[in-house]
Amino acid sequence: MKLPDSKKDRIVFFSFIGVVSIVVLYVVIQWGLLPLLDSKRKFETTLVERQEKLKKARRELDYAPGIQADFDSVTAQIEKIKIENVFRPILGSYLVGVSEQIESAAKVAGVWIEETREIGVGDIPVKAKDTSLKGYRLFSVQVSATGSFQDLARFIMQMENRNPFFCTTDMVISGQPDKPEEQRMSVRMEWLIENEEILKKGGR
Amino acid sequence: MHINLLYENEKRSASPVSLWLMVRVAIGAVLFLVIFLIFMFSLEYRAITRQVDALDEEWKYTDPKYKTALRVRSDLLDRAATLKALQGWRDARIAWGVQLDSLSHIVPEVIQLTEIHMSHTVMVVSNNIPARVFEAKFSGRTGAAGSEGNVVQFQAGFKTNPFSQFVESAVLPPGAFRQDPVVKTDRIFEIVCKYSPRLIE
Repeated sequence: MKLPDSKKDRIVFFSFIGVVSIVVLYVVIQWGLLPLLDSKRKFETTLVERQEKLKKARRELDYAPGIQADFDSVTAQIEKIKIENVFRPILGSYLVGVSEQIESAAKVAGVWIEETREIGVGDIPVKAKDTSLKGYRLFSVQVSATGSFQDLARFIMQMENRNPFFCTTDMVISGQPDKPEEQRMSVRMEWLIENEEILKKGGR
Repeated sequence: MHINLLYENEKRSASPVSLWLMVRVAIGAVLFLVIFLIFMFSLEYRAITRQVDALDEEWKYTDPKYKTALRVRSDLLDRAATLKALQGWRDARIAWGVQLDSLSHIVPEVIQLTEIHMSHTVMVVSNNIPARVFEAKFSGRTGAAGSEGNVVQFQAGFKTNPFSQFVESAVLPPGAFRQDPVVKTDRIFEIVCKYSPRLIE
């Protein structure tokens, strides 16, 4: 190919080439290069995000064995409390089991149980919005007993030693004028029980 | 005088590199550069997409384990809170058996206890935390001789173990120390012990 002979034609020719080049360049940049750069930038962002996500996940997985061990330990402690200290109903009745425990402790302490009266099931007072004890409630009874002061003290100790979650809340011990060696005691006792509504819903 | 025998179109440049050659070389160089850049770009682009694909593959493998680990962590927090609350509940009680048993060590022989009345309420104390608040009233009788000293001695007993770690105050309310209306030679009294609130937390 030969360049135009006249200077004017050459200027027109080069101008044409220039304009065409600019148009081609524009088209290439606008519809080719920019979308590709944009796509690359998105991939780069995605790459950084994925790397961060994986880094975070790997870090979490590094801690996972320790967390699992802690979880197992805490779960075992809760299960131990549930098995040993949370009172379970016998055929739907808490009073039967509670009465057995009271009678057993009273026998050891040498105390005469006159009456064990059910007060009922109540909520555990906890901090507002605190749901950590939602799986538990309280079962209370009122017990009337007689015995010497030391025997009554031993009876309460027996009950408390058997279950650290057992609590004596209200108590009256009074002497009997006709039997000075014997005291009458009326005491309210509380046991931790599982919340049956939560159990029915499959909670723990 | 300068006579030019060549037509305009017959004129040739004396330069060994013609303008047209320069234009072609320039276009060629630009094209080469563009192709080179496109090649480099595509290499980099493919490298990034491969890395993203590789990370996606790894994520598919890691994600279930990660989700499990997060669930275990969340469950651990829940259960740890439950355990702490249970322990808080347990520690909020007062072992009354020990308290009653220890009374014999602080009650002077000349004092006869006639009634012990322990009551319990749950109150919300600072920061919305509930607490068990125990109060015990000890009623008794003693002979008139040295009665004041005997009662003060008994009252002071609440400052010793195991009472001191629980009892906040042990006071004789006004009028609580008085003559026995039945046996005039005796004195009757009441000591009210307020126990420190046992936070349930």
